[in-house]
Formats: sequence, C-alpha cells, structure tokens
Amino acid sequence: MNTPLNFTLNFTLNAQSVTLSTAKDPDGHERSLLDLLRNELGLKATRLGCAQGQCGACTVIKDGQAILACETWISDLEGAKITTLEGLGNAHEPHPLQTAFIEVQAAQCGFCTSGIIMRSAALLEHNAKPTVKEIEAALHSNLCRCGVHERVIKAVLLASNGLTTTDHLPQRGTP
Amino acid sequence: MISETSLPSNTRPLSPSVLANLKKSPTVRDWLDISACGEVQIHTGKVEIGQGILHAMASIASSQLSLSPHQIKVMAANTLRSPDEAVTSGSLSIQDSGATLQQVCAQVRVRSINAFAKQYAVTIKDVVLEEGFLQAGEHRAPLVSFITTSILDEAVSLEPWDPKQPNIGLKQSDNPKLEETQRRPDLAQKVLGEFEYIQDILKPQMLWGLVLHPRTLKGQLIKESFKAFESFALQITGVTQVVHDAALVGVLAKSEQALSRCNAYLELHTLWDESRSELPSELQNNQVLASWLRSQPLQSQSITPEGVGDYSTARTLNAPNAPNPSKTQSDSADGALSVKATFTRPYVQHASIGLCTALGHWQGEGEERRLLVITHSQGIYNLRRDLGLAFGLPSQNIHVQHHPGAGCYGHNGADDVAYDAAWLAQFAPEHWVRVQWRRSDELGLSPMSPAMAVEISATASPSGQLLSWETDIWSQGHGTRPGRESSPALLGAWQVDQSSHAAPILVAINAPLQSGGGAERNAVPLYTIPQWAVHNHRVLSTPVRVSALRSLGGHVNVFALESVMDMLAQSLKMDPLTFRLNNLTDPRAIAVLKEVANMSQWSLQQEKQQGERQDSEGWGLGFAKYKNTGAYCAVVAQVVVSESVRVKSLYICADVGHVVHDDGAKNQIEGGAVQSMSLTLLEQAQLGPEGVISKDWEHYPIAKFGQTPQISVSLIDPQQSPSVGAGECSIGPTAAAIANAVSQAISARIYNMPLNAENLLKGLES
Repeated sequence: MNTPLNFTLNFTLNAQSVTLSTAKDPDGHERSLLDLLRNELGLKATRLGCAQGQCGACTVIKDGQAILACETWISDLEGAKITTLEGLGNAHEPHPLQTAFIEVQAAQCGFCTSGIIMRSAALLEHNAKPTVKEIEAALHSNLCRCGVHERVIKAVLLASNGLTTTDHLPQRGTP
Repeated sequence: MISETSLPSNTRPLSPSVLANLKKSPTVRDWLDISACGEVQIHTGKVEIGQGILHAMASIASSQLSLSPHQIKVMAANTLRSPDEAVTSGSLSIQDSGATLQQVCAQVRVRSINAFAKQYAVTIKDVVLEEGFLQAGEHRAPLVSFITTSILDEAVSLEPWDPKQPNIGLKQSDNPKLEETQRRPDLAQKVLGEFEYIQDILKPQMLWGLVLHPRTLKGQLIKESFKAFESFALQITGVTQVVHDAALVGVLAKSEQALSRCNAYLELHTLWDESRSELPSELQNNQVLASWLRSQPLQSQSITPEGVGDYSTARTLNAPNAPNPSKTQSDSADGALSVKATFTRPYVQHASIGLCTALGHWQGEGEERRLLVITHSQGIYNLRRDLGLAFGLPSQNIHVQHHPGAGCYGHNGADDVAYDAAWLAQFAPEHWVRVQWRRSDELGLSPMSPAMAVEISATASPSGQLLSWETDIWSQGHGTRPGRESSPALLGAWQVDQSSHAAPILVAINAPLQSGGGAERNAVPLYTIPQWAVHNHRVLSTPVRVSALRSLGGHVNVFALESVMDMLAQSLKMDPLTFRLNNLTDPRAIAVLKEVANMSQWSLQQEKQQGERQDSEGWGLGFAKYKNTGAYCAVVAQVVVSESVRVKSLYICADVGHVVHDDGAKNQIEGGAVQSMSLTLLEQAQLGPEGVISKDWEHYPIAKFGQTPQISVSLIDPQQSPSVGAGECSIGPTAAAIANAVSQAISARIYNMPLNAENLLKGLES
C-alpha cells in the first residue's frame, strides 16, 4: 500500500540478480528474507526453527556476514549480496565445508546443519585458519539438539586444512 | 529381553519380535521388492528420525545381498505398503526390524543362488555373489534378475537360514566398515541443501494452517477474545477462515506470511482462560517437586529377584530404614556400610530444532470419505488408529505417510500436529492443509519427560561386596503414545469437545518391565546383590502432559544408582572402578568398564586426584546396560567446576553387539552423551499458572558450542552377539559420570539435577 508503483528492489542471491516489485505483503507489512527464500524462491535449505532469532537454523550470508534470515526484512536487501546453502556449493562443486561435513558425517537429523555451515563459511571468509575456540565462539548462537558439536568442529577444522580426519582435536581450554 | 537373533550369522533361532513381525507381514514381498526398473526396495515399519536408521537397514540388506547400500532403496514407511512395526523407539529398530530384514534378505540370497545354480547347472557352493552379480565359472548374471516373482511371493521362513551354510554365496572379505558404506546418503543431501524435510513439502492448492491450543490441559476459550482475534485475522489478506471447536482454534490462509501476522497478535493476546487447570504451585518451584511427587495418589509396584509383584508384600520383605538425610553410615554390628540418598530431576523437554509439522487432506463423502496424512510420527499405524478414534473413521479410510522431520528424541508433538492438520483440513475439504507448530507450541505443548525423585538405600560389606539395595521411584508414567488406549492420545482431541463424551486426558503409563519399563527403566542394578528391591510409585495426577523422552527413567535412575555406587566406594576408600568390578560378573560389563578405564587412563587420573590435586577438576565413572537387556555402556567424564560445570572430556566404551554401521552407532552414542550432558547440567522446564513458561530458547537453554566436550568413543564388536540399538545407551552413564566427576571436583555430592550453579551452591552448603 505504501509501496510506490514504480518500486523495484534489486539484490544478488547466490550470484544471480533478483528484482522484486514489492518488498512487503499485500497489506503493506514487512516480510522476512526467510519467507521470501522458502515460500517464493523455493530455496528451502534455509530453515525455520524459531522465527525469534534464537536458534540459528536460518543463518545465511549477507555481504560476507552471517545473518538470521528470520530477522532480516526484505526491504533491507537493496544492493545486498546474499548466499544460501544452495549457493555455497553443490554435488558437482561442493564448498570445502560441505566436503568436510560429509567426510566427518557431522550431522544426524541435519536440520541445524544448513545454518551451521553458513555461519562457518562466513567465519572462514574472515579467518581462514580458525582455532577451536574461535569456531566455538562463532557457532555459539547456532543450536544443535542431536549433539554433533564435536564433529562439526572437526569438519570446520578439516575444511580450513587445520586437521586431517585421523587427527585428534587439540585440547580445549578450561572455562 | 535380548533378541536372540544374531547379525550377521543366520544360525540362531528367530527372536519373538522377529516372529511377530513375520506373523503380521509373512511374505518376502512385504519386506523386499524389485521396482519396475530393477531396483531393490526395502520396506520397513521403522522410520527415519535423524538417527540414520534407513541407512543402517540398507547396510543390513547390502551385507546379505552383496550390493552397495546405494543400490538399495529403503522406502519411507506408510500405511498402504509398510509392515506394521508399531513405534520407532527404545533402541529396538536394529534388533527387531533389522533382524527381520536380515532373515528376509538371507532367504532371497539363498533362493536366488539356487535358481542360478539350476539354470547354469553348477553346484551351489561354487556360486559367488559379488557386487550384485552371481558368478560361477564363466557364468555371470545380476542377482536382481534371479529375484523372481515366486521368490518374492514366498513366505519368509520362520527357521534360521540353512544353519550349515549360513553365509552361502557371500565372500568372507565383505567389510561393512568400508568407507562408502559408512556414509549416510541422506547426510550428503542435507549438507548440500537437497534434502526435503516434511517442513518443505508443498502441495498444489495447499492451504497454510495454524492450530491454536490452550496452554494448559483444561484451558477454556474466552468467547470475546476469540471474536476479537477472528476479526483481526480476517482483515489480513490471505486469511480465508478462522474456526474453533470448544477450546481449539484454527486459521486457514493462502500464505505463511498471513499466519505470521496472526502470530504477532497472539504473542500479545491470550484466547483462553487457564484458571481451571489449577496447576499445583509446587510445580512452579523445582526445589519442592520431589515432595509434591511423593504426596500424590500413587500406584506402586515392586520388582524383586522373584520378578514384578505386589508392592505391599515386597515392602514387608524389605522394610525400609528410618528416614535419614543423604549420608553414609557405618553403624551396623558387622561393620557394613550403608548409604541412603534421594536424587531428583525436574521436568525436561524435547527441544528439537525443527517444528512439528503435518499435512492433512480429506477426500470424498460418506463411506468413501478418506483422510490422508503426512507426518513425522514415530508410529504411523498407531497414529492411524487414534486418528480413526478421533474422527470416527475406519482405519482403512485413513492413509498415513511418513516423511522425515527434524531430530526426534521421543514422543514429541508429531502425532498431535498430525491431528491438528486433519482437524483443520475438515474445514477445507479437497485441499491439502499444512499445519506447523510455532516454537512456543513445540516447547510448551509437546509432552515433557516427567519430573522424578529416586531414593536409594544400599549396604556393602567392609570388603567391598554389595549386600542389599532398595530403590523407591516417584514419577508420572513415561508413556502417553497413541495406539494403546480406547480413546485417542492426541492433544487436540482432548480439546475439541468438552462435553462428557469428550476424549479424556490420558494418564501416562509405564511400559512393562520386559519391554524396558518406563520410570523404572535401569533402576534394577546390574551388580550382584544378595537382596534387592525396586519400588516404582506411579504418580496418578496429570497436571501437565508427559511421555517418553530418550531413555525414559534411565537418565535419572542411572544417575542415582551410579552416584550411590561412588558414595559407597568413597566410604570404603575403594577406587570406584575396582568397587564396580568387584560386584560384577557379566564379562561384557567388565569389558566396557576396563576399556573405558584404559581409554581415559583412569588409574593415572585417580592417582593424580589423590596426590597433587588439581583444584576443581574431577573425574567420574558411570555404567549401565541399557534397559538391562540392551547395549553396555561405560563413560568416564572429566570436569572442571568453577561457578558452573564444564565437561572437558567424555570417554565412552560401548558394546552394542555386532556392529551394523560403525560410524552411525558412534554418532548416536556421541549425540546421546551430549544430549545427556545438556539434560544433566542445564535443563529444567519452568512452569507457571498458565502452563509451560520455558517455551523459547532463552528460557529453555540447551548445550551450546563452547560447552560441549571432546568425546572419544570405542565400540567393542563381539561379532557373534546379537546387534542391539545404540541410540540411548549413553544417556544414563554420561549423567552418572558427570555427577561423580563433579562430586570429586568439589568434594560434595549433588543430588538434584540440573547440576547448575544454584544446585551446586545448595549442595556445597549442605
């Protein structure tokens, strides 16, 4: 309703440009990036876990930073560069993290995995060789209930060439 | 009881559960079929809940048929085609469904080899099965081409397969630990973003549904509040209907966005009067939960060496000592040491990362009226039965299809949301209706795991032999699953009709002890004790809804039992490992304890603790045989305690019988240990007058990255022992190992979970 007729919003999603004629719902209310990805663009690897910004299941990368798609309004995407798990890699050209997660079998139900991989990918963009502590700190807001934390840390280390699978994790620090 | 079926040997008699499976689903084709394009399809009644069971089933079939697991398609369970195997729970899938599948596949292999040998006039023992091909001399043909209709239509033998040549056609070198077979194909899809969860399913013309429940079991809809919500919701573009039946409210919409806007309203407005629930004030204070449990109407039953029996008789035989506080005493004439202590745990929650979701669809009229449901329930046939009860529909008019959701750790809201979808879809006939619970529903409406209090009195001789053991357990039952009662066990069905004909709120029950029990699971010590009794007092009040969560009572019982073992060892001035080994005869129990001691350098750590004591560090041991019939598991925990407990390392050794899928079993054991750590250190449901308050992640924190330990898992693989499940065996022993390590670290025993700052401080003060 409060969207001008000639409104267009442009951003890049998984290296493709997207143009929207409206950022809002028919009643003029804000819509989340998560809703756009899952329900309009058919990109479902980004998951709805709480819609309250508390679980990290909807983590994607915006301009190199990990963000929560459930808390990001479409209106704020003008000019942004968004990457989701689908854009990170695929079966033919997997991202090193995807290769490592498969190698280590770092998942069980896999529901939190997409968000964890995206946050790890953002971490590796800024810090190519993170320590265990840095990985743990980065992933602090991503919840996992199946309890594959140890495998995830191994996989991220493996992807950053800090570890071969036969290695043991370095001793962790005390609290 | 232990399944007597062995994997991979085919020479043992079939277990009662396998025979029961083959009675219900007798032919080969019920379990194994060949698709039009020549693909081997496996049908199992067990479902994927994140534990990798479908890949384990493929591994079993592949080892019997010499195919790659990737050449075998395990079909998702559904009520049109799959064998009815009740519920995927209790770590039984491998020993029940897996053993049945092994029998079926062995028969297919032997029959196909026979047919091949006959066709090429070669002797059976010259036929080798390799990578899906039958070979003898120059003859070679795909196995699948010999799995004929007559083989598929044959009844599955109820006898073990050809005891003289159980592995006919199989090469001895077949190695189930090959890397390729270790990797779950579904995990690759999940990591690449290709996996379709139930939450991702869209149907043409599908409507998005929201079903709103009161926050307590007896909440009443406030008419004016509903009217106000209805007029708000109907103004939202995309909302097509707002409906209600008694306390249950539904919204149908053409978009998820429209429902999100309803949610924003509902976060600020309640639609129900919850005052009728009269939630006892004691439940709002976890410190007094134990006394509340003891004061309720109880149904008591005792387990003694003679079996399960009447409580009053057993109690007369084992008269309890006068009540005394938790402490060790050496007061009897013969110098025997005694310990009496009470352990507690508050209500805890499932806390899956995904939201319960289902799709429902009604078709036709009158006798042709059919209900289709897509669900992530653990028991599709049981759900179908209860949906039939709820909607007055014969089972054959209901089709239930399983589709995986997020991780499932017990009886969560999956069945309830399936009811919700079916209920709401009645208002939009011929449309698929998708209902997804919100985070507050997931945490606030799913059945919780009951609060428990466990009191143990035990005595040991000065030389370190256990003399007597008596346990009292107070807890609501641990099961309200669908499929067991004469009325539906589905939340919404209790809320739609509040007349006298309404489906009653069900009181939770405990499974029979031979199936592992509920509240009393793992309460019977595996140690050799001349005189013992376990009294299980089932709390008959149902102020809040409870049901099964991974390991049921095993989490609290092993925590309590193994704490008492350490308390006795301490007063005997004995090493906790030595004390346990002194009182065990089962060689497999002894083996896991010795191996975990080896992995963790237990003796060295204990010496260090005795000598230059590292402040606030502790090492602890915990052990159990899951359900007393399943996997053996021993855990050593290393903790550091400051304001809170930090688990630095967990060393785990388990014996799950013959290992079907090595990495899958380890993954389950590791995950169970982390989940147990989270339950033990952090978790407690918070209740208020209006139901569960801990209904978001801020109020129900679980273990995070940075709080989880290094884990080492070792599996003892006794090739000839039957395979048992691995999913739950590490829960109890991990809790106990942490409790014992904390006790060593702070030189005080903490009896009440969670072992958080508040309870640590209370423990230190007393």
